[in-house]
Parts: sequence; structure tokens; C-alpha cells
Amino acid sequence: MPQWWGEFEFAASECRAWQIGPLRLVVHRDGNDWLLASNSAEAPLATALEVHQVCDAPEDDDLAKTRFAFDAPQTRLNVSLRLADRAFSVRADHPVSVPSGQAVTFFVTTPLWLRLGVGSRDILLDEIATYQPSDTWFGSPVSGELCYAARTRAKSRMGDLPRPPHRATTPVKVINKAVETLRIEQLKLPVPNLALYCDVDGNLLTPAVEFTRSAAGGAASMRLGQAPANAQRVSEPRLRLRDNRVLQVFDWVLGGNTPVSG
Amino acid sequence: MDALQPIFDFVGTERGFALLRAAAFLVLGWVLARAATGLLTRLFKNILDTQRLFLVRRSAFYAIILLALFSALLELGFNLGVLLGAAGILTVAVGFAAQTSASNIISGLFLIGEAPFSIGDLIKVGELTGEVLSIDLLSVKLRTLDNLFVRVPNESLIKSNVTNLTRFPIRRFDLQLWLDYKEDLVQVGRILEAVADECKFCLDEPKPQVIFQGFGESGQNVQFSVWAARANWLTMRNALPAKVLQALAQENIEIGLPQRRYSQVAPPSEQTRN
Repeated sequence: MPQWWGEFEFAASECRAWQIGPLRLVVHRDGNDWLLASNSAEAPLATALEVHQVCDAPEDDDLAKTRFAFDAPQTRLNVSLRLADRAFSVRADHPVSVPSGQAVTFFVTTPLWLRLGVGSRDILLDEIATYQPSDTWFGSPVSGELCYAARTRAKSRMGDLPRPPHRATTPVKVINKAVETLRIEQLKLPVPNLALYCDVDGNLLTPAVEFTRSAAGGAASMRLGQAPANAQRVSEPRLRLRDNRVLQVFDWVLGGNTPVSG
Repeated sequence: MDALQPIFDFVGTERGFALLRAAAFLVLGWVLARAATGLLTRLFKNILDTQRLFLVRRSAFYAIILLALFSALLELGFNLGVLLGAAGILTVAVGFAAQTSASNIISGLFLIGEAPFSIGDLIKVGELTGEVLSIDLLSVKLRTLDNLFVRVPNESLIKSNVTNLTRFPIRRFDLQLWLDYKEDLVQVGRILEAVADECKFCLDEPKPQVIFQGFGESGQNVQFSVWAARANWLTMRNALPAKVLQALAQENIEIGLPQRRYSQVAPPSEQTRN
């Protein structure tokens, strides 16, 4: 796997290109100026991973271009990885039912954002989504939350999961302490509250998110798990929780009965 | 020092002392009013919006100033009953003379209290759509979408329907479609759902809906309802019709056009005529 994130030194006139899953990114340094050009294809699970050290200055009209001007030369580009800036509303391809007393773990992947900064002070140029998910709404039309939409096959073995390089894997543990079977159609994954880790094989992953349906039923609580074992922390959460624990006591945080209507 | 002696002598008299106390009441009232408004601002700034906070501060300020003024007048020996009676008559006279202004002020107080919109909201009043620049006691100032400044009297806002276009975070767009009578509505529904699925700005939830509206002279009328975040609503509204037309054309689905059927009736034959 090529080194595709981290620090990259650029000569006074140098161009490099990345293909990270569906994202095509071209970075061109021209003296004091930096030019970013990018385009993301409609292929959320694309697996390509290429870094081209030599490329032409971007002329392709399909690429969205932004030029950044500095008063002094900046030689270093810092490509860092971030999780999404909004929570994901994850919908299973087929509703999953968790019988009473069961605790099961599913694996869900979400696309990463690239943070591009330059210089020793890591001055932010832009944050680019490797794949731009579509928007969705979680909650009531009056007071819900804008989220990104994701679909999952809710695989319970990580080995069965397609793991493209531009996506991070989050284990989702669902504990059903209620008497009734819990039917899950969608759940809200608080991605901005998660840190990002990289394991020894270069896979990107996050701490587990644990949903517990209480014995009384109705309310669901959510808790963030510990850091994954043998993994190095790559980025901090965008939003910090006070005590690593959120109690979202709404029926619709977990389950299919979202109070949205047409 | 001799020049100030008459002042000291006046203050020494009962009338002079009363004047001094009246002045002290006024100064103390003003200081108290300022302190009270500062305290109220600190207490309510996280609870109330700008307009309501302004109303609370002004009410408290003028109430304290009015009390201080009454106390000062009492110290000066005025009969407040007579003064209040005169003020009442004056209020009635002014009220008759300035009915419209009084009505606007009262409507303004109701508007601030009810808060159907706040500064920065996009509202629709009658045929007028604009961004709220300020909510004052007499009128609301709007900036229309074509950048005109409009002053709307509070009284007319209270009397008419006001639509706040930016109150809620998501908004629905309803696209009316007329389809030829030969088209299969089930197939059209699938095509429209695919269009919404591909559209980045269309929300997955609440789900897009295809609603049959009825049979018309132009064809079958269906409503395609799609939700978007408020910030993306206009972009989605502009992009969606083109995508729908494109998708329908690809599947050879025809848009319904107004149709008239004329039948030519044969003229009566000679035999029938006789």
C-alpha cells in the first residue's frame, strides 16, 4: 500500500496526483501558489489507491479547482485524515432484528475527509471528502439533525466487509436487554465524536459505538468504546464528549420508527 | 463664597430641601434603571432572543424611571391624582389623534412577544417576500429578494398571514407533473425515485414521495415531493426539474399536453329531412 497520507515535500514547481477510492486529487505547487483540483466519482466502494509523484498541472475541466496564494513559499503539504463532519444515518439494506438478551456487533464503514494543510504551521487549504455522501434527516422535520446517509449490509464479521482505503470501519454493538425483539432499520452513528485510528495493516478504524436497549424498553442509550487495540491514533474527534458517554434517550436513535413524515 | 450663599439659604428652606430630594430620586431612579437593565441583560441574554430582551430591558427601564418621576413629583408637593387624571385625558386625546401609530405600537409589542420570526429570517407577507432587517415598535423592515427596502406596518403584519420560510431546517419541494394517459404510473414512480436517489441535495429521509393527484385535461397529474436542507433547497429546486425531464425522456415517457377531441357529425340525409 503506497504512503498516501502524511507529509509531502514539493519542489518550487511540482505536481502530484492521488487516486483514493472514488477521489481524484491533483495538487500543484507553483512558487508561492498552491492549486488544488479534485473530483469524486459516484463509486462509494471504489478500491483504487495510487499516488503519482509526477503529473501535469491540472487542465481537466471535470476537476473542481481552487488556487491558494501565499506571500512566502511553503514547501510542505500535509495530508491528514479526518472522519466526516456530520453524523451518519445508517440504514441497513435489510432490517436486522436482535432478539431479547442478545448483544451483537456489526461493522459499518464511512468515507473519510482529507485535510490539506501546508507549511510548518499546517495552514489549512481545504477539507475534501473522498466520497460525498448524500444528505438525510434524522428526527422530526421540526427539530431533527442533518446527517449523511449511508447504507450497510450490517456484516457481523469484519472479514466479510469490503474495506476500501478511503473508508473507516466502525464496530457497532447493539445490546438488547428488553423483552421484545429489537428491529433495527436505521441508526445514527455519531462520527464527529469518534477518533480515527490506523492498525498495523494500514486499515483505518474507530472505537466501537455501543447502543443498549434498556430492560424497560423504549429508551436507548449510546456509549463510545475504548480505542482499538494495536492501533495508532491518526486524528482527534471533531466534537468532544464530556465523559465519553452520550445518553440519547430517544426511541428513534435506534430502530426504525423515525418520526418523520412526508 | 458669598455668591453661593443664596443657594445655601434656598436649600435650607423646606421647598429647597424638597427640590433636592426630588432631584435625588430622579438621579437614583436613573442609576437604578441602568443597573436593572444591565442585570436583566446578563440574566436573560441566553434565554431570550434580541427582540424580547430589548422589550424586557426597555419595560424595566421606563417602569423604574416612571416610579422615580412620581416619587419626585410627590416630593415637590404635586397632587398625583390630578396629574394622572390629566394624563388619562391626554392619553385619550392622543390615542384618538394617533390611532394608527398606537395600533402599530401595540401590534409591535404582540409581534415581539409572539416572535413568529426574528432578524435574518426570510418571510412572506401577502405578495411580498423578504429578509427581516429589523423589528421595531411601529414597523418591520424587510429587504426583498430583488434588494428593495420595504417598511411593513406592524398592524398589517398582525392582520395578515405571515409565512416564515426559514423557520425549520428542512423544506419540501413539490413538483407537479402531467403525464400522458398512456404512461404507466408505477414505472414513472420508479424513475422519479431513482432521480431523487441520485440527487445529492435531496434528503433520503423524509423519503421522496410520488403522489397521484388526479386526471386532468392535460393528462395524469402526479406530485413529486422531495425534501432538502434549507440551505440547499433553492439549488435542489432548480436542478430537479431538469433531471426529471431528462430521466423521463430517456425512458420515452411523454409529458401530457392539453388535448381537444373534435368529432364531425354527418349532415342529415335527404330521406331523414323529409
